[in-house]
Order: sequence, then structure tokens, then C-alpha cells
Amino acid sequence: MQERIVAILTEAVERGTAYVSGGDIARQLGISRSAVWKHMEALRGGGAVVEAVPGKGYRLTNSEDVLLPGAVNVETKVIGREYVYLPEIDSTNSEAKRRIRAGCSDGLVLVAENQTQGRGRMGRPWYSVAGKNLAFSVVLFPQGIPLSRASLLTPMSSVAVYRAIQEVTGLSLELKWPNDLVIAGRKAGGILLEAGGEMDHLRYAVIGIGINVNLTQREIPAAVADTATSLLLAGGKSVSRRQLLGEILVHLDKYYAEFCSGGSQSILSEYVELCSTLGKEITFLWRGQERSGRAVSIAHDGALIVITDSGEMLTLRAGDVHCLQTSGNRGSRSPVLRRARSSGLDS
Amino acid sequence: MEKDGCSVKIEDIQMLIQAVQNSDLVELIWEENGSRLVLKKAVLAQGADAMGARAEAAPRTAGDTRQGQEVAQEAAEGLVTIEAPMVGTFYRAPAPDAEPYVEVGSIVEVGQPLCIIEAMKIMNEIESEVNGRVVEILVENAQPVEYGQPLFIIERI
Repeated sequence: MQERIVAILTEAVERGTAYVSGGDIARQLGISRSAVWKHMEALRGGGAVVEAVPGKGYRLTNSEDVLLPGAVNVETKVIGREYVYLPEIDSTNSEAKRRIRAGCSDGLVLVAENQTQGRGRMGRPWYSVAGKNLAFSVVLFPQGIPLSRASLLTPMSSVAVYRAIQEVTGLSLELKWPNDLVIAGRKAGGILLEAGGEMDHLRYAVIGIGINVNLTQREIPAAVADTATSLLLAGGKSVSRRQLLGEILVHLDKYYAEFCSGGSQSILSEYVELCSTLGKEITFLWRGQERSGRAVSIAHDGALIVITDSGEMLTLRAGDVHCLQTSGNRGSRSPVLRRARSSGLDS
Repeated sequence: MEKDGCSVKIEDIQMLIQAVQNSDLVELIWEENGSRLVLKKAVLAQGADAMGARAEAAPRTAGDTRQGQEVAQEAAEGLVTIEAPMVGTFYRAPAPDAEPYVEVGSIVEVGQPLCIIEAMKIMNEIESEVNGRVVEILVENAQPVEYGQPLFIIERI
């Protein structure tokens, strides 16, 4: 019921009418006006700012920040069909794995207002600030997909987040191989991917996404003050968390359908187009040694193909890559992209 | 390949990669004006494909050899080899300061995580395919592993 009230209030904001009378809500839902009032009180407890004006009705004043069920109202086939809002949790990825053990559905989305033990790769801490960021996980149970294909989830999720941020904010981002989302040299978000299964069977995957949305400089934790940014800082205006989350889910849903069908053509062609590492001179660690070369292409699984300075062709699937130049040589990059596309990346 | 005065263009290299991939060639060496380009196609394990070709095949590990020699014996003794389902980095624990998933002697059930292989920044938990006891762990923590490389030997119980 609460979910439907959030949806009604959010739609009113989207339509521009903003106010919905208690009587209208009561009629639509077949409940009494006093029941509506009680639900409004509960919503306020969940972080929604609901204004009540006599003669006009109710209005959700912070509608762009509300992530309660019903607020993110997007058409998807799988992703977010089950949607759980958590006011506070240790980590959405940890909660996702607990729910996987207990049994949950394909496409489950877990959104946290606050993470107390947000984590990144190898248990490193991920800082988030309640009410200002997006912190959520998506649970996937693909059918009949071998574990080796899990690597495609990296291009899939980074392209989805990139496109959504671009569409909602208009900001120009950089996607550094394999999945760093960077604005003006600073990290604006992170993706933590965990999967499990055996040789022939990708049993589950969890895509954990953290985005610094409306953090001010003061709110960025000291530990990452020199390396992190937010969409607000980068674009100079606050961003709708509700809209951004919705767009990410829509993009993930589209690419996930392709992933489940065994294809990867649109995922990889988007990735090749957006990956800023391609065409650049890079340094990287290869079996413990620092090497350098030029990033020339993306392999079928999202790996980075590099031609080293000594002429060897290497395929990178791990490790940190550093660009030696800040702007790619467009002249040499575009032919690579054209060939990469026509060469059947989806082979 | 020298960076200065190099006459090999990036599109040429891309074309050569395609040519090598679409051919039966295992290695191509191209020299021009003092530049030298070597493309080597790794002989791939079944299941990988040409786009994933590595320029260098990984050094054969002790595990590879012993697997070859002892497959028949293992089958007879009810031993199961768990192999790497992908190329990546092998980790025995979920975080550097965490306990390893399993030790030699650990009893494991079907679906229980044995290790992580990280590839493309994805932490892949490799689950046991059998109920049994871990007899041998064949790879050191944080080492690169190749597709199909034996990781664990588990005795069915």
C-alpha cells in the first residue's frame, strides 16, 4: 500500500501537479482518508518529506531523493521486479549474498540509504554518506551460462552506469578499463562484482554499484578527498537519485537480456566506444613486471589487448592499468574501433 | 618495436592480429625498417576462443604434469580435480586478512566456495562440485591461473 502511495505522489510530481488530495488517494486505493494520513506518517519515518496543505493535499517535496519502493517506477523485464529498500545495512553486496543463500529472485534490487560497512574489491572500505549517494546491489541468476562468461558483467555494468549518468546529468565521463568511472581524473563511483558457480554454471552474480551523487566537497571522507568526486561537484547541480537509479536499472535490464541470450554484441560495441583506455600508451603489471605498450582492442570477454613496446601481444584480464598520456590519439584510435566492430567481437 | 620513427601503424597491427586469428598461423614475425613485431597465438585450451589468445602460453605448472600422469589413478581412488574455469588471479580467502575458504583436510559440500578467481575485476567464487575432503591445494595465493589449470584435489566422501 505504501509503495502505491509513493508511486501516486511521485507521478504527481512528474506530471507537474505535485499535490494530490487525501480524498483522491483514498478513492484510488479504496482506503479511508485517515488510513492515508497514517501511511503519510510512516513515509515521513522512511525519509520522505511529505507536505500537507489544507485544501490542496499532499506533496512529496524531496521526490528526487526518495528511493522507497514505488518511487523508482521504470519498465523493466527482470531487473528491479523485486525491489527492497533498506534504511541501513552493513553492505548491499553482503546482504545480497545472504539473500541468495536464503533464496531470492532473478533481478532483485537492494537499495540502501546507508551502508555501515560498504566494501570494495578485496574487502577494502567503500565510503558512503546516507541520503546523498546511491548504494545498491542487483542479484542475477542467469540460466545456462558458463562461469567464464561472468567477465562480461564488467563491461555490461560499467556501460549501463556510464550511459545512465550521461543521460541524467549530461556530464562527460571517462570509462577507464576495466570499470573505473572517472570525471576530471577523480572517481565518481565504483562497481563491485561478485559471482559464484562451477565450471559450466554461473550460479549467481551480484553487481554492487556505489555512486557519489550529491556529496559536497565537505562531505567527501578525508581518506578519499584527493581521489573522489561527486556528480554534484562535477556538474555544479544536484542530481535526482531516483531518476539516476531508474535509468541504471533500465540499461542493466536491456544488457542483461542480451547476456542471458548468450550474446554480447551491443555490450561490447558500446564498451569499445566508451573505453577511454583504447588507443593509449599504458603501463601495467604483467606477471610481477612493469610493462608498457599500446591498448589496441577489447577481446570477446572484455579483456584489454595490448601491443607491448617490444611487439608482443598481451591480453590483460587483471591488474591496474595506467595511461601515459591524457588525451588519446584520435587519428589512430578510430580505425581500431571500426575494425573491432566489424570483426565480430561477439564471435 | 621502437616508438620513435616507427612505420608500423596501429591499424596495420590490428589487421595483422585479425590475419593471425583467422589463420592457422601460430606465430607471425614482421620486420620493417628496424621495427620488429612478433604476434604469437597461444595454443588454447578447449573452451577459450581465438579472441582470448594470449601472446605467451603460461609456463606449464607442476599441477598440469601431475594431472596428466595421475588421472587414471585419481579416478580409481575417487579423487576429483577442480580446475580453473577461467584465466585470472587465484585467491584462497575473500579478503587479505580473512581466513582461507578451505585448508588441506577441510570437508566440503557441493556448492561450498573453495577459492576466488579474480578476472576483469570480478570476484568469482569457485564452488565445489562434489562432497569430499580437500587432499591437495595446487596453487599459491595471489598467483595467476590459466583456463583448465588444476586448483584442488578433492577426495569424494
